[in-house]
Amino acid sequence: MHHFGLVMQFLRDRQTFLVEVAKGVRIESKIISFLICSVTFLALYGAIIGLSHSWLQMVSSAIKLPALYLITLMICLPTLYIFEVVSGSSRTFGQYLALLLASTSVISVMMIAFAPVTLFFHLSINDYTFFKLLNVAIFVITGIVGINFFYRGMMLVSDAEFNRNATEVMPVVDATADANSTPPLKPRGAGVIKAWLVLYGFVGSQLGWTLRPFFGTPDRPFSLFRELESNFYAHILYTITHLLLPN
Amino acid sequence: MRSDLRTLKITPDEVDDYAELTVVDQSTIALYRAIAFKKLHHVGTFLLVQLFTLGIIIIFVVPPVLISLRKSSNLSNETSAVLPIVLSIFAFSLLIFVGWNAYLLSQIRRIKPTVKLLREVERFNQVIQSIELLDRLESVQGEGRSSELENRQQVLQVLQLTRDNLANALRADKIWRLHKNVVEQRYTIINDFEENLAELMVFNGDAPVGEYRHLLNDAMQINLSVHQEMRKL
Repeated sequence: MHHFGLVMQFLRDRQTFLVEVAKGVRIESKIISFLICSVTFLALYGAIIGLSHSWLQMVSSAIKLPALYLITLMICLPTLYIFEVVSGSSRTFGQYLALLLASTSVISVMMIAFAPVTLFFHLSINDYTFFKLLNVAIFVITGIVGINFFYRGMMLVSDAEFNRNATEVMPVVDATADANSTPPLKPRGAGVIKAWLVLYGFVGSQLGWTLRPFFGTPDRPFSLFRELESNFYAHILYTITHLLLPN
Repeated sequence: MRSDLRTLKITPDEVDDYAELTVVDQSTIALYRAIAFKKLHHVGTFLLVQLFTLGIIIIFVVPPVLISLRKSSNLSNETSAVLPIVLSIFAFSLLIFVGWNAYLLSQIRRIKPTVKLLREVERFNQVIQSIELLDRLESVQGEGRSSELENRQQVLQVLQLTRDNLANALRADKIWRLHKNVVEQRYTIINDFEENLAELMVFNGDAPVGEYRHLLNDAMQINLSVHQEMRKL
């Protein structure tokens, strides 16, 4: 319960959390709390979407959905860490992991907030295509919120690090050069983080495509996986076209 | 809760700061408490930790192994063909889980003093709760008599020293756990602790009466237990 309490506290007061991450305060306990929260909520939501097919699909989706988010994170995190270190960051691997897991927690909490809506449509509409698109929309919305949180968090932590470095460097610079010739210090650009977020989205969508089915087609028996054909974006385009132009 | 009591209470965050328990430490503590104390809530916490650990192992093992198996061996999607493979992957996950628990069992000896100190922290927080209860009773019964207010102050002073001792003990235990060869810092902490203990003995000679006497004894017991544990470190 303490872990869920910590996550709720973080959702209410994100500023304090980000400052603590920037300072490296209690990083390991934060990682554990966010991991517990993310896994629990994502497994719960996975079970809800799998429930639309069968109990086997329910168990399968309850494992696959947390796996999708956590394995995407584990695949992409080293890239971010190495790029940031090369760009001059002094943050630890744990600080990046805590920030990313916090974003995953935000996504998982948002999904749980959408769970009653998903359940309602599951019970009231018998349309697989609509149900699938509804969930893709939920994944996109929650993903955008989570990514936005991560981006802002990274910017704030970068600024804090920059300000700390600037106060350490500036007195020396002032003493040795005149104001006109000293190049102004700037926080590290957001370009690396933006590029990494695009990569994160691509890896996530491809992994999701590889791990499907999450919903299970109603007229087909339960299957653990599908053939590796096409890609996620082509399939979504096909589904939208199929929904709008049935013939 | 009055502000003086609120600042005295040792919060989980403060325990985190003093003890800096890792994932392995926390899992070992849950295991040891379930084995040693056999109380329902300890067993419940242990089972939850175990369930979560198994879940995490399955999440990280099953999907990647399935994907790579499918990629390498044209695995059929027929339920009858997939089932034995899924079961063997689950068995593999279970093997990792058993290995993890065996590792935790080997860590129990290292974590025993920490568990005892955490128990003393719980007892300390219970004493604070008792004082809070007494405060409420006194506020219902009307203005406290001056002798009782004096007793309360005396107990609070003892509890402040007890709190410092617990914090010192947790810090010393952390040093012992993380850097067994750093002896000097540990002895400085033990020295501070013993100075606090000597100060506490003066309080005990002039003990208050009634409920506060009982609470003061509890606080003294906590200090003596912590002192015993620190001597063992």
